[in-house]
Amino acid sequence: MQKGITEKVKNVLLVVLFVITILLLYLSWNKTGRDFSVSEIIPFSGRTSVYVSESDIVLPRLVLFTEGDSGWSVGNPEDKKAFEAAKKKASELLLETSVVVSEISEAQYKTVSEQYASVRFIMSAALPFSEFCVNICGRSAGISDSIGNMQELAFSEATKDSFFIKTDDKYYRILSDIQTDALSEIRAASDITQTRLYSASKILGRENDALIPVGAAADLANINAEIYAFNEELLAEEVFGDTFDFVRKISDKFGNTTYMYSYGAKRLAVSADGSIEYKEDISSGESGGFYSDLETALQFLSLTDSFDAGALRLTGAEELSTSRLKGYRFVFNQFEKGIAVDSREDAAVIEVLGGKVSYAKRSLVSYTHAEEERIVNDAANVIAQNSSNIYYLLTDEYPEDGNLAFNYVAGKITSVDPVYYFHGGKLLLCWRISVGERRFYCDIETGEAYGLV
Amino acid sequence: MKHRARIISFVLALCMLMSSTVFAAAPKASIVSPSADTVVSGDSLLISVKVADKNSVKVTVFEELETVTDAKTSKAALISVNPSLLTEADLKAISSDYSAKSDASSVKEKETPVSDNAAAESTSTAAVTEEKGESQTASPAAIPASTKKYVYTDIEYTSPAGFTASGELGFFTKQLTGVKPGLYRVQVDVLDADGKTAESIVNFVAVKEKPAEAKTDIFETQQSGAMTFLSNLLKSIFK
Amino acid sequence: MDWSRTKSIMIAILLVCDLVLGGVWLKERHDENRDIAAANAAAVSYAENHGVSVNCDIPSASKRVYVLSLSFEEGEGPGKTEYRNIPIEVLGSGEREHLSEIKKKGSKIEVLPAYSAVLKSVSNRGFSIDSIELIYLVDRSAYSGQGGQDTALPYWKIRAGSNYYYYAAYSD
Repeated sequence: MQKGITEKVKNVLLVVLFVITILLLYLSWNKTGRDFSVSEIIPFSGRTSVYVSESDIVLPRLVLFTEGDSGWSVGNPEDKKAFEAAKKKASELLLETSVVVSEISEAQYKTVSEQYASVRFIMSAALPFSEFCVNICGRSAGISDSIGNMQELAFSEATKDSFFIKTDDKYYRILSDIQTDALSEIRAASDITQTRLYSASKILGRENDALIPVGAAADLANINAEIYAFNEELLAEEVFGDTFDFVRKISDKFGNTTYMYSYGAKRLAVSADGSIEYKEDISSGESGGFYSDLETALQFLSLTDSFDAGALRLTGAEELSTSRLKGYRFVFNQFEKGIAVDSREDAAVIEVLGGKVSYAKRSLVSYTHAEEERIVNDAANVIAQNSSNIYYLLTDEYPEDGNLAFNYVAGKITSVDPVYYFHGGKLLLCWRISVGERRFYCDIETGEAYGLV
Repeated sequence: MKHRARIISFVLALCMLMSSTVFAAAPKASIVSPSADTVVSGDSLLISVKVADKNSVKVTVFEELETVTDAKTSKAALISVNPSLLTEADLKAISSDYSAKSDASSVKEKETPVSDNAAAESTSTAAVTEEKGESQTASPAAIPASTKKYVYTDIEYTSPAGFTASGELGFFTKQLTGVKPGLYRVQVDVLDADGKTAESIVNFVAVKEKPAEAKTDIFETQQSGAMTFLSNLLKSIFK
Repeated sequence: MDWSRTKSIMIAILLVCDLVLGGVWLKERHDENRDIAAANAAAVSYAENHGVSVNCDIPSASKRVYVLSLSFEEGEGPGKTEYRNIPIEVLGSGEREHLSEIKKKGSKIEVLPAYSAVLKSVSNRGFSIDSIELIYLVDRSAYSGQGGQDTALPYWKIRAGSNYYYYAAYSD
């Protein structure tokens, strides 16, 4: 009996001492300043960051092929191989020992690009040419920063030892000391569509170099869509990183949430409609140049849980400069099947100063399902149908007659593009008729006017 | 009396002439592209037709073929017109000639009987007209318009394209690809309420092959590489 | 197998472990308290040398606390005022809204020792510190009356006469 009691006491002592040991171990662990949790031993991440590379996002808006017959064939907007081939050929020409950059006239540029078989890459966003050269061939090849931003890149049958660029206000020929059949190789790599572009002079009969499409891509339909609502908590955690524990989270009754760190030095606002805005006070740092700052912007863009950031393209870039810091402002927009998605706001705007993201705004659209395919009405017909309305919106006057309105509008058009217009919970296929900065959205089939921006 | 009758006739004729200009109606349709009587290079042709006031049109493109008789076999064949022999002046003459023929007869009567000397090789809707007194053999030199032979051929549509402007103004556009060198006539028939042709508008266009030889003088005024370098250097020093 | 002997050995081993662990823990606590006491004394000395008098005891215990997620409802109400004995102070709210719910957010964070607040207060020359306590602070001036959610972080609240000063009690 004595032995039985002893054993029981031993059992109790064992348990008590074991528990005390665990407790003392917990206190020691806690003392190191870390909360003990299973997730720290077994790492788990419920989110995926989608990283997008520069080559997926910096793409031309239009790829135009011509045989010198005053008409242009359009490259498939979803195809990236044409631009890859162009960069490769440009790189080959730049890597030669003797490269000469000379300014040419607008007339000479038009001659080589319009009167000869040629290909033109019209960029969505102007790229600093010297940095573009470094990006594609690893060195500056003697290209000066003073050349400016490249808006167009062209190869022509007229000369096989050169390529051409158009900047904001000048034209250049980059002459190498080798010959290369760039045009054939680019054409072979490209997917050329049935769509043709002609000048407004040829189609509409009014003096205007703006290009108007004849026949747009088929198999297109309106798409049901909504503002993309991502997991804001996960985004905030990624944005604020280690400081997230000290971030103040403020939500109002309308569903808007603001995350604030250090009295607003870093601030992330998430609206109820799904758009976000981020600001950070940057006081020091160095810009790494266009491509380095773009990389920084793309990393921020990739801070989502599952949104396909590959659907975005760079559509604008401008230099930023404060008293102490330099950087860039990048604008991104969404594309579906290579066609731009237009809404009231750009899909994303990111400012990078001193090598860090100082401002970001994002409003993305996610697609649910497509409706029936649309029949494409001629762009020229849609312009004619809406010319009186467009005339009124441009001049605040009612036109005396339709011909007057049409002649006025036809002479002022700067571009006509097929786009998706986000309106009323749908991506509506439209012709976007641009007159300078003004944009008119007209249904691609019925010509009905949806909006003016 | 005779003198008075002459004056009255003259005044009446003058009034008719003026009324035709003063009260001339705005065109119901016009061909924007191709421009009238032009020569273009390449293998594509853009058709752009402006249609006013909810009118309906039928757009057809015809190729003008000429008859060539083999000297040995005396067999006649239809061949494409050689566009390199045509100038814009030739096209103007062809156009005038066509207009004159159209004024003289109705649209339906344009299909005249095939000549005994010509072997008619044509598409299903082709018909041959023959000017009296013309040569059977095509001369390599520019052929005067009055001796031209024409064969009407449909374009590559399944049928001539119809279009109705939905409002005050509308456009019909069509891109033709793979167009062979030759002489073409773009015809726009404006239809009345019964679907019959009320008027026809026609433009002639000669399609040539794009010249293969490259122009080499585009950059002749360009400085040499060394001079460009020097000038850029001087510019940067004295900026 | 002699389970009885095995149990005896295990009891002995666990006892030794617990004594060692307990001893180490106690020593660390003692050293920490001694360090904080020394730091407090040094801070008081520094403050008084710079024209700030300290008329109270400075809390010496080190702490780890949660960041709080607060829910506010519009209108007057009995509102909560503390969490685990730490007062919650809501600035700028008035009677337009009241604190209805408190939740802890994330994991615990280290609280800076009270003497850090004393050192920061030295910039205000000529006043005397009458009390210093740890609170949760949230400033609703820009949002008051709208309801919604907000976040409260730990602060050291210093009373100097009729004035109050707040210094962040966390280091990010």
